[in-house]
Amino acid sequence: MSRFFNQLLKSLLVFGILFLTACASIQQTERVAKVDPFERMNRAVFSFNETADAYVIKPVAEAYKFVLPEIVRTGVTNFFSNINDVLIAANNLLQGKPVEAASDIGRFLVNSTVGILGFFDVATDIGLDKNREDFGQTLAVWGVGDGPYIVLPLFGPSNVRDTVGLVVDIETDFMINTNKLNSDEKIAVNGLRIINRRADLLDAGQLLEDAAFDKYSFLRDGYMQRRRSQIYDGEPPPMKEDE
Amino acid sequence: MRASFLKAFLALPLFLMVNSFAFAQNTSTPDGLVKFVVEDVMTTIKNDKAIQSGDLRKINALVDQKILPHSDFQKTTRLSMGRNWSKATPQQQAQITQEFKTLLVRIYGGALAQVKDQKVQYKPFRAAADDTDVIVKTAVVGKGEPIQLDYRLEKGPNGWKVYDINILGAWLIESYRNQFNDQVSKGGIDGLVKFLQDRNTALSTNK
Repeated sequence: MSRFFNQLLKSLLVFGILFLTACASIQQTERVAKVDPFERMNRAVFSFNETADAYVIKPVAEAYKFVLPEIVRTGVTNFFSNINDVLIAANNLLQGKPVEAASDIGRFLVNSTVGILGFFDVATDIGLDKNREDFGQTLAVWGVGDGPYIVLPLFGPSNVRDTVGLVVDIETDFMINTNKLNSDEKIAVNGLRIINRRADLLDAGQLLEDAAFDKYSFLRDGYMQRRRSQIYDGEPPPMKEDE
Repeated sequence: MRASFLKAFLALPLFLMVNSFAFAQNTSTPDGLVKFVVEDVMTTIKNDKAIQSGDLRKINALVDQKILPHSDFQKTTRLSMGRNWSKATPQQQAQITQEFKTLLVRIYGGALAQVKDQKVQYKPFRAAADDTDVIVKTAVVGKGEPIQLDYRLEKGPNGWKVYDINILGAWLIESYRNQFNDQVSKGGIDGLVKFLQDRNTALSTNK
């Protein structure tokens, strides 16, 4: 008898979970279901990221911002941005944009010398504007579609294509792969890079908090739009009206 | 002879004035209008200590006087609501538009208070003469990377009106589509109105 109850309980549980899952997927509109089929899992990772940010990354970034004057923080941002210009040039070449690639290399040469190892962005002042490229965008230019939306642990909003792109970006990243630094130094340098990046975004955080009705979906939809804009270098064709 | 000389003398400054007005405020073109409003707003902020310190009443007055006359906020709200717009009564539509406006002014009003030494770069404007729906592209240049800020305008009976803005690649209306839709599917139109009211109350008591 008790075995029967056990069985019943188990099947009720399984049924309940299936029912809940079904409910959750019914809640999505067709449009959302297409881009975010893993919403439940994504939301779980999202709240993990939010917690990690609230308890660890954000407080450190706030302290960092409090301690260092703006000119130093801008210098740090410029330094990492300058090294990244080499990869941006490579991606522009891979996307068949040699003129932009030449401009990126020009930026790197000017900023590494006149800009004292990249701490000052003099290239922008002389009219060589910063481009934003990464391997995810290159894949998109080659015709790879977005794939489902994915929230990565710690890295945040992404999709299948951009996750592959990110892996390549990390594999080719100078600061992560250089043999001029030992592993402790790499951790320190890349830790600085992450905290500095987070500090740059502190002001936007509250605005996002106030503007979003639901932060998860607001970030998701914002990410997809921004990526689309980046892929087309700021000139995306109008969206197809599917609603 | 003398009278006509006098006339010409008097008419000259008037002519110059009208002419320079036409150049300085060529608000009949969408890019001219955006430039006029942006420069007007930026100059006002830079000369107003109260706004710089975040005085909400003054920020609201600035938005009401200088920005809203050139925008079609009902269209912004209608498009953000998508299919749900027609489910709301005219009274609810007015309510939602008002609450959404209050929310956005509060959020972006804070950003206006941050205007100090930024400059706005106007990108080359491309549109056919008979276009009635256009995009004016700008970038806000301050410290760090330039911020992409584009305006979408529609030509109506009362001239060009801004109804959508793009910040860093994301359009406002597109960003709010799912936000509105989620609230409506959770609690209907009434639920959405209540949500917006609660959010605005929370924001006004928090700060």
